[in-house]
Amino acid sequence: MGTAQLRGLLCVLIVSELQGAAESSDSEKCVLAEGETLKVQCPFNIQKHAYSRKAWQRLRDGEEPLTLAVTESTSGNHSRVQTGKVTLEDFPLEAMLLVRMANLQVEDSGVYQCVIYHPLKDPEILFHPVHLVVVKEKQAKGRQVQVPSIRAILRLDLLNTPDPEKKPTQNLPPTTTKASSPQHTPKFNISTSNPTVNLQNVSSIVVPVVCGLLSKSLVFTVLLAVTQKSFG
Amino acid sequence: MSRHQALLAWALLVLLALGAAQKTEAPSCCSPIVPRNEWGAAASECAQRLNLPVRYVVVSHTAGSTCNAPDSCQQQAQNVQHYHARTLGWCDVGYNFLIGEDGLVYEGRGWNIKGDHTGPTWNPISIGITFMGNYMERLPRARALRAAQSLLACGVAQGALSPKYEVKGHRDVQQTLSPGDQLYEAIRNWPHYRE
Repeated sequence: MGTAQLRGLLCVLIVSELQGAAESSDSEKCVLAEGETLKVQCPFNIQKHAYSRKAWQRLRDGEEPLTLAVTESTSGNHSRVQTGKVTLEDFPLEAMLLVRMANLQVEDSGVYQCVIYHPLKDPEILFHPVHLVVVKEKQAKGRQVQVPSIRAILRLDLLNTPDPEKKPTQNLPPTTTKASSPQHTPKFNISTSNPTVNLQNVSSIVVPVVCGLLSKSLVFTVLLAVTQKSFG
Repeated sequence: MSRHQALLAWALLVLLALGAAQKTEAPSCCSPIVPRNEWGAAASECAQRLNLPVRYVVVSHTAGSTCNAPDSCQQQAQNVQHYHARTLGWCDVGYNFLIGEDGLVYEGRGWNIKGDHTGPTWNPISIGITFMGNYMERLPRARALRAAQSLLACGVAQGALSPKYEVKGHRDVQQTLSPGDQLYEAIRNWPHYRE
């Protein structure tokens, strides 16, 4: 079995948060390898949209967004719809739409969004646009070490959604509205060797140090010039 | 010569200004939180941790008694914990933090432990803060609202909350009247609120 195919990664976007200001602040960037599965949790307002249809769209330059999948049910019960590689699961009583896009290919790279689907009106955007980048498996090989640790972190976000490595039979109790009792035991093993974490540590140190050195050297150059002038 | 001294003085001033500018980037200071041992909390038996930084904050009310002074708020926090841990059998009080109308923040499960406040989908991805009282008909005192906002700013400064965290009302994500009509309207004006 190709492990990459089974590997579900929820792009909750720790990565994008570490990348800081370089990315547009509103979109969430997510880098995955070919064969992997993109998972996105899109919250919606339960008062307004428990009964609304929800869709997953791909944004295209200069064109209308392309709707890849739409939920059908407006009954207020849990529903699941699959269109090609996209699976949408609506949990109306939990105010959450779960999107899965499986078996990613390089050409799937692009910007996507969760929306409340109005066929005639402009869609209402949920969560944030997701900027997906799919890389070849070869490039991803180098990430093999980091994948399990990221996965361990991301798994927590997915705690109560079906695990892609098991049969998708685990459903949420449809009428749970009160606070949950503890029932899930997450595999929690955040590794300190996680490269993304290190990236943040390194950049958070390097940037101030470099800035500090530059500003100080500027000041000392000025000082040197002044003193040379005064003694010269 | 005096012109050179003036230049030298300017250069030193610039140096000081740069130093000061760098210091302002330090995390903002956090108002004190009443720790568990101080309000007489029973020991927690919770083991599931949150994955930090957390993106969402869910604001609720207890819909129970309100409290205006440290003594009564401490008692109220104990009551909520007793109900959650003893009556409902949870591992601890369900909330991450409890806000009293004495203007103090009472530590519940804190920033690191997954709460039990908003159901199985939201508990693992959010911090649950609750205002002790019923806010259908009236607002919490300003000092309680201030305490909550300053708690969230502190969460960002400590890296527990994402800088672009989003505040949700409990009724936005579950079928409930919590956090009460009045408090709900108030949090809708908070800068990080997102419907």
